[in-house]
Amino acid sequence: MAAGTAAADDGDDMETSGSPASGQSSPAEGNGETIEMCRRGSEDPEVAEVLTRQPATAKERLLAGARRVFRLKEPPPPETERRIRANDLEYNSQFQYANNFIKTYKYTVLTFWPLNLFEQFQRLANFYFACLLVLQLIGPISSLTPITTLLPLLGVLSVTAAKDAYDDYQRHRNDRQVNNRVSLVLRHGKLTREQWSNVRVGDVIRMENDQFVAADLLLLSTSEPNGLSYIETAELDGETNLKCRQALPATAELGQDETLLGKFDGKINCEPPNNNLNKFEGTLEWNGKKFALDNDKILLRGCVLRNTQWCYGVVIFAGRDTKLMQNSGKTKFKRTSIDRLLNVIILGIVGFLLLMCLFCTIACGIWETVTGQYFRVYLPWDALAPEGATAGATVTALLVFFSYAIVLNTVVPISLYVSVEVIRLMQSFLINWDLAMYHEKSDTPAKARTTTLNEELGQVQYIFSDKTGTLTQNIMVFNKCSIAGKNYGDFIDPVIGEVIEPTEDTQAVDFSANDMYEPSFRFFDQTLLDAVNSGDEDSHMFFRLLSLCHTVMPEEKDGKLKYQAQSPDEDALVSAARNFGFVFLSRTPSSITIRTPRGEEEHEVLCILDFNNVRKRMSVILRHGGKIRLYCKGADNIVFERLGNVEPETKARTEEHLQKFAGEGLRTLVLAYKELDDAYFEEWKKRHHEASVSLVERDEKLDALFEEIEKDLVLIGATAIEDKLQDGVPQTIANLILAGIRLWVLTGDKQETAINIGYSCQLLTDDLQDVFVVEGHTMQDVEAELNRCMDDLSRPSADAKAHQHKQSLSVVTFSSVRSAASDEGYGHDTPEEDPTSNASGSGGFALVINGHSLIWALTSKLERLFLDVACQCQAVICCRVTPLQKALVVDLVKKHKKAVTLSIGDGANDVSMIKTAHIGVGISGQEGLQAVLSSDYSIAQFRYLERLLLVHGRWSYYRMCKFLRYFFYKNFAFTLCHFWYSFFCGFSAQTVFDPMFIAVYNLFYTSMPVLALAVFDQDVKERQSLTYPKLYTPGLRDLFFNKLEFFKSATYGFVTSLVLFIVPYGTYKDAVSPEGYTISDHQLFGAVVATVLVVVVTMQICLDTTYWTWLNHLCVWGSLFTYILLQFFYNYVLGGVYVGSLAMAMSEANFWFCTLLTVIVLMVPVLAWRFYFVDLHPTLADLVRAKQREDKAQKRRMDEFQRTPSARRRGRSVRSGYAFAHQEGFGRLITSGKMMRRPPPLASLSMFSLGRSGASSPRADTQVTFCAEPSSVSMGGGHGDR
Amino acid sequence: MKRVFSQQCEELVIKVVQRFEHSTSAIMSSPVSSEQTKTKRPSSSKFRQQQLPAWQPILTAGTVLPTFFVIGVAFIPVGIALLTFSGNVQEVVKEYTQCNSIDPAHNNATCDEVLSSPNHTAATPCTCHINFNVTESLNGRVYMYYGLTNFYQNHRRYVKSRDVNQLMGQTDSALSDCSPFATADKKPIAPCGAIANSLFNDTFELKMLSSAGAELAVPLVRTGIAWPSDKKYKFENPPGPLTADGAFKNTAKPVNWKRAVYELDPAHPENNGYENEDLIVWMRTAALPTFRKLWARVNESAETFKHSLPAGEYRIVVSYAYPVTSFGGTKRIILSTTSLLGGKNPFLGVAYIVVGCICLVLGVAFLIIHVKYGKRGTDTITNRTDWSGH
Repeated sequence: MAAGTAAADDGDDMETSGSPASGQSSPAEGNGETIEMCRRGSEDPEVAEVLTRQPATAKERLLAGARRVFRLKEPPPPETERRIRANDLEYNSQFQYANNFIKTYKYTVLTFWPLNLFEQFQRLANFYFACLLVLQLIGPISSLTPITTLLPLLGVLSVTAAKDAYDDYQRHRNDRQVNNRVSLVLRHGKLTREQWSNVRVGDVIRMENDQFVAADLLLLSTSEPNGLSYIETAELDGETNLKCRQALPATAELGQDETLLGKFDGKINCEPPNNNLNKFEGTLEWNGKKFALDNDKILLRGCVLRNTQWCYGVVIFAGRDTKLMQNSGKTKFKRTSIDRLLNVIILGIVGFLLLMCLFCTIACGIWETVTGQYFRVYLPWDALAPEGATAGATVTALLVFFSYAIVLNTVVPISLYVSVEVIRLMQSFLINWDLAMYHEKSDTPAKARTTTLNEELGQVQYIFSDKTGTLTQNIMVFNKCSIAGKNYGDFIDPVIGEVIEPTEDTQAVDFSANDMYEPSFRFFDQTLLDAVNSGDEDSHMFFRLLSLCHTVMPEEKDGKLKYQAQSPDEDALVSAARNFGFVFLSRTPSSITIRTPRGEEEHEVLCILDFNNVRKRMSVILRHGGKIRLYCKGADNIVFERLGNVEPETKARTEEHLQKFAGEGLRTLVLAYKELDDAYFEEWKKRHHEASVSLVERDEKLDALFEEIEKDLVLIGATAIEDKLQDGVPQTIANLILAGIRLWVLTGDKQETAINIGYSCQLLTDDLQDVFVVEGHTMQDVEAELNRCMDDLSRPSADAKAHQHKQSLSVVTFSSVRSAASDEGYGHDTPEEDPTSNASGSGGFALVINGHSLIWALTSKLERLFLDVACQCQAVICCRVTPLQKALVVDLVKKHKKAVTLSIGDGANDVSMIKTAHIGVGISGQEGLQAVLSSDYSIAQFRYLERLLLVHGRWSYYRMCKFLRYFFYKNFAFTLCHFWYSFFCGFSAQTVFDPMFIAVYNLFYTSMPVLALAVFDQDVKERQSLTYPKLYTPGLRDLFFNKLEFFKSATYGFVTSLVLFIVPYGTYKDAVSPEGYTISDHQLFGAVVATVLVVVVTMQICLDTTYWTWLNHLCVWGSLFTYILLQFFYNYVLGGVYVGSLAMAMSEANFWFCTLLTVIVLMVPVLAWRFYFVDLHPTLADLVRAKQREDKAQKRRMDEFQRTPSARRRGRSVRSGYAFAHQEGFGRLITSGKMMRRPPPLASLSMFSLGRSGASSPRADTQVTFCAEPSSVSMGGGHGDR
Repeated sequence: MKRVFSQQCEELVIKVVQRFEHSTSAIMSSPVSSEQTKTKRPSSSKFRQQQLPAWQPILTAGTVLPTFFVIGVAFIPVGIALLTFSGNVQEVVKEYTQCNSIDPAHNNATCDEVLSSPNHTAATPCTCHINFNVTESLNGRVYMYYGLTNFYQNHRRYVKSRDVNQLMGQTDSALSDCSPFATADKKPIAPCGAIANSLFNDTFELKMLSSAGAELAVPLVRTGIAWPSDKKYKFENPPGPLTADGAFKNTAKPVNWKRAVYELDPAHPENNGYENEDLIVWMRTAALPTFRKLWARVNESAETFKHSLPAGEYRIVVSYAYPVTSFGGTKRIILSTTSLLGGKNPFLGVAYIVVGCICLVLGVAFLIIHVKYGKRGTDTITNRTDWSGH
C-alpha cells in the first residue's frame, strides 16, 4: 500500500458536482451532450462564476470523499410525483419539499473537524501514515517516537484543512450571497420582499427584467404579449442568444393583477425533481380545467430574464430540487504524466523499502543468533520473544521488520504531495499574474482553472486546435461580393492602379449619407455604392435579399438599431445591406419591414425554410406587391445545383469569382431568388401544412417539400465574408512547430478554405514536400489513400536521412547541435529519432483529411494506419469534422501515442475535445462560456498559447522536475543513513537522528529552499524560451524527470547517505575531545550526521539553484539558520534529550573539518559531472544561459531580442474560408409568432412602426396575425423540433 | 441555542478569514491597480512577473577549474596538519580481557574464567595486573579510558531503556521504557533500565613501577570526566540527602549493581546518585559497538605527573568484575594524551590529502579537456541559428 496508489485511486472516479447546461437552448446540430459548466462544486451559476474567478484550487481529490459522504447524508427524497397547490403553504408543506435555501458548503464550524478529518483519511497516503502512527504506538515495534510521524502528518492535515476551510468559507460566502438575494414573493395577495432562501414551493413570485430566476418556475404571466418571456441561458449553457418561454394563455390573462394572482390556486401535478433540462411534464388544474405543461412554460433557475419587464411564476422546484442543482456532471479528474510516474516511482520506493526491511530482518535474525542472544546478559530480549535461541531471534527479527518499516518510511515522503500541490498552486498564480498574457482589450488575464496540470504544459506534443474563434477572431466582415457576374470589393490603389490589400489607414467608402449606417463598417470599393445609388437593379436585388433572407432579430439599444443574429455571418450580411441602404427595420411573425433607397417596404412572410447543416441553405418566401418570391442563400455548390436557366456567362463569372474568394480565404455564399406562382404556392403550402402536422417521417417529408420548391432559382450573386485571423497566430504556430509540437487543426471548414487558412497561419508552408489530401467516401478509398500516403512517407524519409547525414558532415557544429537538442538536462542518452523531427526544417509532409473520410479513418481497422500517417506529418488538418469527431481524434492520439495532448478551442463544439485532451485550453472569446468553463486553462487570445507553453509550461515542468529530483535525493540521503547504521547497531532499527529531527526534517529544515527553487528558478529568461523554441524539447521527451532521472537522484541520495555516514564514522570513531571527553557517543554522532546532512542538502540546492533572487537567499540561508536555531531551542528550551550534543560537537574543530570534508566530497563530483557536460556537451539551455550572461556583461541592449506581440504582428490581414454558420436560425421563433415585440419607440424607426397596424394594442395584433398564419406556425414548429 | 452558537462561531471565523484575506491581499497586490479601477489587469510587480533581480551563476571553466585547484591546494596542507596533530597524540592501549587473576586461589586462571565459574560470588572481585612499559613519556594531560568491543550500547532496545525524567530527579516517573529493569521487589529501580543496569564496574589503579620494584601510585581523578552539559541538563539527584532514606527512599538498586546509586563513589560524597560522573559517562551511550569511555584523568597537581606521564614501567591493577566474553566482547584500557583536535585519529588527515589530490587531478584533467575539446561559450550558439529558428 503506497501513498502513490492513494492518489491514483481516489483521483479517478472523482465526482464533482457542477452546473449543467444542455442543448436545451441550442438547436445546434447534434451537440446535445450535457455540458458541464463548472468543474467545481458550484451549483448555482452565479456561484460558479464567482468560484471560477478564484484560482481553481482543484482539491477535488480531497473533497471527493466528503462529497460522497455529504451526498449520503441527503438522500434524494423518494418522490414519485410532485403535487403543488399554488399559494397554499399549508398544503405544500405536508410534502416537505426542499425550500430555496442553497447549501453548497460542506462544513459548519462544529462539523468541520470530524468531517474534514474523515475526508482526509480517505486519502490513502494519509491513511498510510496514520497506520504508521499506530505501529509506532506499539511498544516492542516502535523504533521512533510517534511524534516523528504525528508532526508531519499534523502539518499535512492542517495545511489541507486550512485550504478546505478556506474553500468552504468561500462557499459559505457565495451561498450567503445567493440565499440573501431578494425576490418579490406574493404573500397573502401582497408582494413582499423575501430572501431567496425563504422562497418556497408553491409561492408565486415576480421576476423583473435582467434578474436571475430564483427557482424553477411555472410561468404564469408576463409583461409581453401572449405571455411570452425571453431568457438568456448564458450562465447555464454559455449561449448568449435569447430563448423564449410562453405562459399558458389562460394564466397569461392574470397579468400583474396581484389580487388575482394571489388567489391563483391552480393545482400542479408534475414529475419529481430530475436533471433533465429539456423536458418537463406536468399538468395544471385550475378553474376546473386541466392544462398540459411542458418545458416551454418553465423558467429554470440560473436563467436571466431579458427584454421582459416582469413576469410571474409559481415555484415548482426550489433549492436543491431545481434542475440546475440536480445536474451534476462527472468530470474525469485529470492527472499529469508526472503524477502517474510519481505513483509508479512511489510504488517502487515502497518495494525498495520493503526489501530493505526484509534485508534488515534477515540480518537481524542472524545477528541475534550470532551475537544478540549472548548479549542478553546486558540486554534481555523483548518480553514478546520466547526464550529459545532460534525462536527468540526469529521473533525479534520479525518485530524488527516493522520497526524498520517505521524507521525507513521517510523514503516515501509524506510531504511530497503537499509540496507538489503547493508548488503547482504557486505556479498557477504565476500564470494568472502574467501581464504578458493579459488581454488589454477584453480585460482578460490568463487563468489556470485547474491548478494541478502546470508541468504538463511543458510536455505538450500535440495541439488540437479549433479554427473559428481560436485561430480566427470570429468577427465576420462583409468583404467582397459578386453581383450578376460583376466583382466588387477589391481595393484599387489610386496611385499604382493595382489591387492591393487595404490597411488600417486606407480610406474606406463613406456611408454617412445613410442615416442608419454603422461607423464600424468598412468597405473599400466605391463602385458598389455607386451602383446602388444609381439604382442598379441587380445590386438592389442583391441587397434586398440580404436584408430579407435571414433570421436576424432587430433590437433597439440606447436608441440605436442593433441586430441579434445566430451567427456572425448573418450579422455581417444584414449589416452590410443596412449600410448600403437596405435597412432591415423590424419583423413580425408575418412580415418583414425594410427600408430601401426607394422607401419602406413591408414584405409578408409566407414561409421560412430555415437553415440547417444538411440543407446548407435557407430560404424565405415573401409576398410583396402581389408577387410571391422565394429568396435563397446558401453554400455555393448547393445553390448552383438548384439554379434554373441562368445565363452561362454570368454563372461562369460568378463561379470564377467564388473561386477567387475561396482562394483568398473568404467565406462564400451564393444568393438566388425565384418568383412563385400564387396557385402553386397555395397548393404547396397545403402540402406543407400536411407534412408539418404528420406524425411519421415529418422531417423527410418537409425536406422533400423544401427540395421541391427551392429549384429553378435565379442567380443574383455571391457574397464573400472575411474571417479575421487573430493577432500573432502565424508566428505562434511557427514557434510552436519549431518547439517540436505537432499542431492539428480540426475545423468545420470545407477543404479548400481549410487548406487556405492552413497556409495563412503558417501551419502549411511552401517548404512542405507534399500535402496529402484524403477525401475518400468509402473505407476502401480511405484505406487506399492512406496507404499511398504511407508509401510516400516512407520513401523520401530515407532520402531525408541521407540528406541530413550529408549536412552533418558539412556543418561542423551540427552533431553537437543535435546532441544539444536531445541532451537537455543531465540526460545525454540519445533518444531514438523519430523520422518527423528531422522533417521540421524542410520538406515535411502535411495531411488534410475530410470529415467523411475521417469516419472511416477512425474505425478500428484503419485508425492505426491513419495515426501512423498523421503522426509522421508535420501538420494535420481535419476539415468538416463534427464535435464528436474532434473528440475522437484527440482520443485516438491519446490512446495510441504516449503523448500529452492539448486541445484549444472557444466554442461549444470544442467542449468535448477540450475535455478529452490531457489539457484543455479555452479561449475566452465570443462564443460564450462553455469552452472556458470546461477548460483547464483559459486565455484571451490564441497567441498567448505560445507563452503558456513555451514559458510557463516549460518553467513549470523544469521546476517541478528539479524539485522532484531534489526531493527524492534529499529523502534518500536522509533515510538511508539509518540503513548504514543498522550494520553497526545489530539491525535493531536504532535511528541515527534525534526523533525530533526526523519529524521536522522535511517540514522545516529542508522544505523552504526547494520550494523557493520550485517557484522561482529559471534556467533561461522568458524571452529566450520564446526566441529558442527548441528549449521546449526536453519536456517533450520527458528528459528532466523520468525513471532514469529518478534512479540517478536516488542513487545519488544513496551515495550521499553513505558518505554522510562514513565521514563522521571515520572522524568520530573512538574520538575524544581536546579535554579528554569521549565524543563518540550516539547522540553526538547523530547530531553531527544530521547537521552535516542539512548542510549538504542545502549546498546541493545551492548548486541546483540557477536563479538567485533575494527570496532564494532568504530561504537557503534562513533554512540553515533555522536549523541551528530550532535545534538549540528544542534542546535547551523544550528539553530535548539530545541537549548539549550538537553544542559539544560544534565546539571542537573536528566537526568543522568533518563537515567541510563531507560537503567537498559530495559536491566536487557533482561539480565535475556537470561541468563536464556543460563544457563538452552543452545543452541549448546551457548555451543560452552563457549567452545571456555574456550579453548582460556587455550591457548590450536586450530589447532587440524581445519579441513583443505587437512587433510580431504583420500588417496584412489574413483570410480564411468558410461556408455557413453552424446553427439553425431563429426561423421557428419568428414564424411561430412569438417574437412579437412592442414597437420600438425609436424616432428614426417611427415610420416603420406606423406601418404596423394597431401598434398600441400589440396583443390583439399578434393574436390576429397568429391566427392568420396557422400553417406557418406549425410549419416552423415542426421544423424547429428537429 | 446550539445553532446560535454555531452561527456565531461561523461569523467569527469568517471575520478572521476576511481580515486574513485583507492583509494578504495587501501584501500580494500593488495598491495602485486594485483600488482605482476594477480591471482584472494583473499587477506589474516584479515578483508577480517573475522579474525579480537575480544572480544567475553558471558553470564555466573560469569558475570551476580554479575551484578544483583551490580545493586541491588548500586540502593537502590541511590534511598534513591534521595528520601531524593526530600523530602527536600518544596512546597506550592494553587489552586485558583475558588477564590472569593474581589470587593464588584461582590457580592462575583468567579473571574471566573466575567470574564465570559457578562458585564465584560477586562480592569478591577478581584482581589482575596489566604491566606495560611506556617508552616515551606521555606529554601533557593524560587521560585514562576503558574500551569495550562488540558491546552494543547502540542497540535500539538498549538505548531506549532508560528514563529521562527519573535521571532528572523526578521520583514519580513511570519508568515505562525501562522494562524489564523498571522495578525490583515492587520498588522502582534507581536508576532504571538496561543501560544503568549494565554499568561498567571494573576499577583500575595505575601504578608506576620504579626500577627497584617499588610502586608509586599515579593519582587519578574520577571527576570532570562527564560532559559539563550532561551534568548540567540531564542528571539531577532527587531532593534530599543521598542516602537510602533520603533522595532514594523506596528505590531498589539495579540488579547487576553491587552498591546502590548513592554509594557509587564513597570517596566523593557529592559524586553520587544520578550525578555520579561514571554513571553519566556510561549513560551517554556509544555510537558504535566498539567504543571507549573516559574513566579518569591523571591528576596533574601531583608533582611527578605535572606535565607528563614519564617513561617507565607501569602496572594497572584491575579489579575485574565486568564479564564480556560471553558475547564475544573484549575490554581495553587506554592511556592517551590529546591534541588540539582531540585524540589519535589519522582519518581526517588522510581523507583531506586524498580529496586534495583528487581535486588537483580533476583540475588538471578538466583543464586539458577544456582546452582541447571545450566549447567556447556563446560563439557556437550564434553560429547555429539553424536550430533556433530565429
